[in-house]
Amino acid sequence: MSNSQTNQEENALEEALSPIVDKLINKNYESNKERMTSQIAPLLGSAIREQIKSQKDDVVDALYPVLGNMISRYVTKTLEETLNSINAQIQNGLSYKTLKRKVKAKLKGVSETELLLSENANPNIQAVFLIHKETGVTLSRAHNPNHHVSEPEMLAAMMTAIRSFVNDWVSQDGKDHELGEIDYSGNKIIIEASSYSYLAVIVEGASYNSTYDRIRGVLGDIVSKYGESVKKFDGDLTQFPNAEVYKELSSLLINEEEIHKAKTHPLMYVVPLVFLSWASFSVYKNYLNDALRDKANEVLYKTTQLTSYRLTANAVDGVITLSGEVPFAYHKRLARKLVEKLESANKVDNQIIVAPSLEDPMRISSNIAYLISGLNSQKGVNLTYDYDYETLVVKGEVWDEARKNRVMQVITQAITLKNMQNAVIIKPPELHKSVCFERGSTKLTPSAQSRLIETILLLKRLDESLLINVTSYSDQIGEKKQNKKLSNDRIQNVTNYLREQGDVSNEFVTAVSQSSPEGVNPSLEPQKARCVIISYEKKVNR
Amino acid sequence: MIAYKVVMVGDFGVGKTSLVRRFVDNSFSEDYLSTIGVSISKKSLGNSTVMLWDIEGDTEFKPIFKQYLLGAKGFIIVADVTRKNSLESIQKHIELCHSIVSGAPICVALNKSDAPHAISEETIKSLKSLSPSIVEVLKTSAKNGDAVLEIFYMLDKNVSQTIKNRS
Repeated sequence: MSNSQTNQEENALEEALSPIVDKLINKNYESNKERMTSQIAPLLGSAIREQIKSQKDDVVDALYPVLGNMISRYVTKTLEETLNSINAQIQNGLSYKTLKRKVKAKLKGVSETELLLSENANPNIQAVFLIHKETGVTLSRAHNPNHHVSEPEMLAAMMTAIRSFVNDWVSQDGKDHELGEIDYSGNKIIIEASSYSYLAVIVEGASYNSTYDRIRGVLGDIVSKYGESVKKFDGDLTQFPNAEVYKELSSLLINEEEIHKAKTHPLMYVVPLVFLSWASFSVYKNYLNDALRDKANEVLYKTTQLTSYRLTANAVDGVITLSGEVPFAYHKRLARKLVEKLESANKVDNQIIVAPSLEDPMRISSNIAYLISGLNSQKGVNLTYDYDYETLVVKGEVWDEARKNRVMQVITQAITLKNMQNAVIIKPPELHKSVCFERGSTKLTPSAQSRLIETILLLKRLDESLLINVTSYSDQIGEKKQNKKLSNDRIQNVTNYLREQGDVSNEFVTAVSQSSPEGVNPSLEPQKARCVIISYEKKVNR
Repeated sequence: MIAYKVVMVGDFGVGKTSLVRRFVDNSFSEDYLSTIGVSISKKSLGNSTVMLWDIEGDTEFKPIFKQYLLGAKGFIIVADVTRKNSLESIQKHIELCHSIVSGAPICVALNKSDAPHAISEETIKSLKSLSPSIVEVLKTSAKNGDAVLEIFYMLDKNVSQTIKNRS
């Protein structure tokens, strides 16, 4: 038999049998559908797995139209919802809110769409449960009217069980683990625990830090206010302050956006605007008032007759109000006169009280202290005082008689006391000028002249009654007679210079000394020994 | 209005879940489905809401998870009258319950009493004397409903009385 014959027979057989086999398979499939499915099913899984392993791209290509459609449909739907909501907001047109958003976008430097997206993703707290940690009993709960939880007790108990499970089974390193949140299809349950209770908060949409902060805040409030009730909870719900806690929980249900809205009602902008303009007006007015007040106070302070009474001036809209106490009506009138002269002072309300005797020792004492410190700021005055009630002893030093008289006059004018003692000492400032000469010369050198000018300047500030000592010393070189003559001439030159150049009218006491000045060794420093020393007469006290 | 937690404790397969099903839904199934973790049911009894924690049964390889017992106001310890070792475990379970909540009331359910068994009155008496906290020891059957309601009611009566007295 040839090969071709065999082939022919096979073909013939196939042609004859195939309709019958087809019919058989169809029939078998119809009658044993379930059996066939169950037989093929296990194979399908491995077949797909095998196919993916070897022909990954083929499978992806094959599935792409289905999966792609599915995914794109899902994404489209989600986007559509977001877009619808955004469109609605845009269509609101140039509402106040849109305007605000536009400004906000400009200020923040982000696009308006971004802001819109974040507005749309605002978290929405749907329900809040306060749950007893150990028993899982719902102590209190609040939910949005459109978000009904069918079995709140079951949810609370299950959450507690899950928490217990996670806290115990997950923690293997001995550290405390706490279940934070459970996510499910875009929503989540945020769990915030305290020691005896925890909050389970069902949130729809994204949650932000502010959401967690609010939850923590509410739990903190509940724990601080009702922590004891939670701790003591024994199963009896009537003993639990449900109404109060419910109020706390409900505060979480208010949308963050609504809180925001409530804060920024358009009217709320008018109020700050009015306030702002009022504030700036009053700041300006205050500035004017302050300037006037400062000027008035300065004038009162700088007038010596009034300094010690520390009068105060206040200015409101150009009206100056004077207050304080003075001993005589003269002071009151003086104060008014001074202030009236000021520019922009429209009116003076003189409320100064004339009190002939300021009898409060504390006041007197502080007045004295104030006055003395003022006087001490002048050159050549260095006063101290003893004040025992009714008796004031003024002590210290002044440079000269004129100063002493002036100071005492001011004190007696300013402070009216029965007993006033004057123990002020006149002590002129140090004067010990040494004017040196060249050997054998009586001529005033430039440096000697500058010394003399210094002396003149000092004497000008002092009393003319001071006696001035002018003593000439010698280097003890050469003849005594010659030296004495030189000394006399030198004194003459010095006193002449003082009188003619400095117009000094003090009386001079001149003396010629054969020796050298104190502390100068003539053999070592002869140039220092040839000098005239100007000082005060030893006893200058009157 | 009171609300509290009761935990079902016992060896695996003694019928804790079946007792709860009978009590809550008044239903029963012969199929055995092992409880994984915990299953929680709620039942209102007059003035009180009972949260029933039906936990995974105790086995040699996996002891009872103590966290689930925390805060319970009462326990129902379940044993299988046909399994001697489950009866012997009762003592251990009482100790476990009291280590978490000392002195909590306990009811002991000797379940599957519809099956042939040999539990004498003396055994029941000796079980009762295991702890002063034992409220009642009852032979129950989740299958035909014998003494199921009774055992839960007795525990509820005891627990709610204690809560009322305390507050």
